[in-house]
Amino acid sequence: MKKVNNLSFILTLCVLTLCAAFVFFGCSDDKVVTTTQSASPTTSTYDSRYAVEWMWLTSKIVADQSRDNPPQAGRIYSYACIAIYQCVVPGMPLNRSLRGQLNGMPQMPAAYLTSEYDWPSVLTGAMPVMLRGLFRTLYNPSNVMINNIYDRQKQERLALKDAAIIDRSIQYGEDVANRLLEWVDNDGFNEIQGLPYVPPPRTLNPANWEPVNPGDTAVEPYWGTLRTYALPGADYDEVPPSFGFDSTVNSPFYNDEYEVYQIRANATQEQKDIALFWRDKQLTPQPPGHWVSILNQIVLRDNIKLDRAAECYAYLGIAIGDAFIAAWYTKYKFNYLRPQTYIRDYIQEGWTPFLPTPPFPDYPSGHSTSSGACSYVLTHLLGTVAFTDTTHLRIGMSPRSFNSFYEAAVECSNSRIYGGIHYRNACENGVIMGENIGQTIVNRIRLKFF
Amino acid sequence: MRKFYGIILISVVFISHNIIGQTFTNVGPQMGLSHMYLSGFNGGGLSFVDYNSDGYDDLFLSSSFGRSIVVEKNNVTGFINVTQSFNFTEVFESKTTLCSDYDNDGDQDILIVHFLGFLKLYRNNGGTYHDVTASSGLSTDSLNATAAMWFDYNRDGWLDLYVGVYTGFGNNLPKPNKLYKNLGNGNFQDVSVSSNTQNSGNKVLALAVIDYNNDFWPDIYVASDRRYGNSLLKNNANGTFSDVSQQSGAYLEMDAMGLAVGDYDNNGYFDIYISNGEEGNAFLKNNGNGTFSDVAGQLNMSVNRICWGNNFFDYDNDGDIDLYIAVSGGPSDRNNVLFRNNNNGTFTKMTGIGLENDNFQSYGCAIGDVDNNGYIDIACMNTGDPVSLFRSSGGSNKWLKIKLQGTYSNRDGVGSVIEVWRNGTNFKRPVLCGQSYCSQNSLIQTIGVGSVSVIDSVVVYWPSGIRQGVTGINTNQTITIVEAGVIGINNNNSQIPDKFKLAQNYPNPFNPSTVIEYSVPKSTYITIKLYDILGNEISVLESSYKNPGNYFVSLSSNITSRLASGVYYYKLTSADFTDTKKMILIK
Repeated sequence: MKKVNNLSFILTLCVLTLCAAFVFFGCSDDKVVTTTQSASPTTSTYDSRYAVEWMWLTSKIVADQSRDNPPQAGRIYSYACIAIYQCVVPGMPLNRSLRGQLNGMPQMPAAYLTSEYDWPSVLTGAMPVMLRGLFRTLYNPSNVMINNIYDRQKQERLALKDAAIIDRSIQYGEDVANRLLEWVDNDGFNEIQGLPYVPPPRTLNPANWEPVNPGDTAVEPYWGTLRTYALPGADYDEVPPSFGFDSTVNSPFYNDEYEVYQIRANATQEQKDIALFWRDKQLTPQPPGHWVSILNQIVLRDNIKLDRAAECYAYLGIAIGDAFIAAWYTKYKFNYLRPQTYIRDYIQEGWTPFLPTPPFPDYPSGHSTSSGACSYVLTHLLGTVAFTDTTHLRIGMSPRSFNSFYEAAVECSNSRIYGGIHYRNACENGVIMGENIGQTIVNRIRLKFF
Repeated sequence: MRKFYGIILISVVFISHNIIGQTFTNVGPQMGLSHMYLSGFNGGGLSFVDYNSDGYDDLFLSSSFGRSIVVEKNNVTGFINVTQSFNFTEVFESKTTLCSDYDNDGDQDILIVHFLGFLKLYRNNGGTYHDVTASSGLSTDSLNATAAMWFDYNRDGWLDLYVGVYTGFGNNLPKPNKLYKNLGNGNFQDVSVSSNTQNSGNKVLALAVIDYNNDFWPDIYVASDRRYGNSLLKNNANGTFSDVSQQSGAYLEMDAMGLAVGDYDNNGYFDIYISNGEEGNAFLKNNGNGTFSDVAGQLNMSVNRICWGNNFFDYDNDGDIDLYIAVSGGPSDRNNVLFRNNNNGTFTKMTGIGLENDNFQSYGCAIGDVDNNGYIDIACMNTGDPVSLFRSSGGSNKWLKIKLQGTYSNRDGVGSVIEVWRNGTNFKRPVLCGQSYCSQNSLIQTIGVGSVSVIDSVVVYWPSGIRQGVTGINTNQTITIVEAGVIGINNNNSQIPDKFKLAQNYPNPFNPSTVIEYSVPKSTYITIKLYDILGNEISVLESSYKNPGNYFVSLSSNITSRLASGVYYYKLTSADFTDTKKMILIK
């Protein structure tokens, strides 16, 4: 008991000190409610159902519309996740805003100390605005789903609290979302739309990537130019080049490609299942959405409170965003060919992989990079967590179980070898690069004041 | 030279009119169609069939969980929801509804495939529908079934049922497809194992019948999702099938979600179009030697979006089949796609004809002719938006609508191939019951013939083996061809009979229609007249100059409806031959 009292004393002292510091430095979005005198219940008093509902809806829209490629979907998830955190952080006395930490993030609207906010309702207000801003196109059914969730959540909150509190909270959420969308608009995404790209031909360098299937156009060749989230730059955690291109039998490069060739010929059903499970192609939430789905499942299963869940979403969103920017930057920088090209030229003519080859360079694997980053930040926050992933139940794929986030990331990485679309070095180095990105995020982005 | 340019100009104007003048309009909302598929495993399909034989194609719409299928009756100006009159009991997520006359009693029965539920077979007994699922021997287990089709795999005159199953729900245990043999007595027998049609462990989203080797025995193509591999099952003509996927080149690992079968290049062999996801659709061209080649990339028809139902049909009635594809999502947009056949082995993606901006999440699509104007309309099942019905404005090309009535074969002539001859060339169309994605097209075949006013001949290859020809048919009309002839004999006009013959009518006794076959060995003028028992002439059934050949004439309800039950006589008269036979009308 004495220990608890001491801890409470220390915490209170720190909070008061920090409040004083904020007044001094004039950080309006952080200072107002980070005091024990707030009229609002803290975020930690709420469950995370609304956060999960909005992130579930985000992934459903991605899956239903299947309009956004993996980096684009990742960008949507990233900002949506960050929005969740920013909406509820004023109700988390020990937590910091991401403003001033994420690159270019503007000051957030103030939540007033003397007014009561209902933090779930803030999400209800914010997320429709975020989704309508993030999805370039929202078809009618998607809009209907957004409206339906908004209406239901609002009615649920109105049954619990005064209309004035709910209205104020929804308005605050809308304000946060609108401010975030101003930031979103300046990340460089709009500037790269429609930019022409002609990949350097293989005649210049046999290691060069080239499209392999009819209708292929290079996916997001300029994604690496987007504003990073926590990384100082897209190349901050860059991995070294893969071992050099070599068509000589028994060279490291040849051996990795030959492994892909052999697995294609001798793949077990388990390996095929794994390849399909992590493929995350059309009608799925896409690769970054798979990790959002994993977090959704764990938040619900473990009944993680809204404050902790918001931290997880924040780190996960940043990890997804930075991993895709960094991976795509590196992909087009090194511009390595895919196994389908290599194997056809040097091992077997006409060879086809189990999964269709995606239309962008091989090294490093994007699945591996993002999984490495996601698994790192989730492990940092939640520890080693065993879970059964039911993401694809709705499309008839059986769940898969893992002892940890890292185990899932490694399986995801291997799945690309089993699918015949990456060679091992691109996958293993991709995971390392992702973990490095995760570590950078944790080091640079402080969610707590201390 | 000036005249030459003039001809070119006129031709261009004419072609432009045919291509650009014809448009589609989504008349679903104005005709009262409001049903939509909600969430579930993918979307649903629909059936565009005249279930009550009033001459107009109706709509059977699948439903997500919590609601039965919906039946929309076409009353020409709009649709009326008549679902309640059917007393459907299942509200499980439904995928496929098929209308067929499985018991050959002259009316349409209804099969419903519930994905997370059971098959349901409703027998039509004079306009009332009875659930005969359990008593008929169909499975009463939840199969995770998606697509289904009726066909007569053993050509015994009774429609058999093939059901595609999606493995992976509940567990990863391989689940087999089901082939139910129609025993002809209202009962079915599961012959999946003995026929080797289980195709176990696949993730089936679409099925199609294709006689890929022109041996008149229906083969099966199975489309499988999530790269489990498509299959071609060859009918061995002895009640069994062999998997010839690999050697035929029809084995494709893709996310196959819909199928269309047709002879796009009019080379006499049926081809297959297979929808897929962003990685591109496949188009298996039948090489005519038992193998296929994928020409989708070569023809620029990959689409590279998430595609589902697709149908070959002649939207502009110019005599070749075009291709319509339903799209649910993907980059840039999700408009459905219409490819126009250029009649030279290539296709052109059509724009500016009213099909843009549909922006619906479309799954099943089916074709019919909602207003009987001879131009095919398209119905699409959408998720989150009401079903769309793209009505064709029509054009100037000529058409013929054919309704088949089997006698030896199944009543609807499912499995027949219709061969149309015009200007010395021919094309053929299959008559199917279950295609696209979980959908069914109209059982009335709408066939375009370009500018031809009189079709040289139509030859029907019935599943029974009968080959039946009809010559000199005026276009822009609907005709019914009743199966006539002798099984095992190629009964067509090219075979010259050696003597006059007046055959016994069939069926006999009859009500309301019957068929009279006759043979003419030399060119002559003939008459066939109908008399009552007192010798009074009632009607002249035929009176024309005939070249040597085998013919038939139908005595239909427009005559028999005003006759009482009793004995009647029909008499063939020519300069050299007279014969009379007796028939019995029973009302």
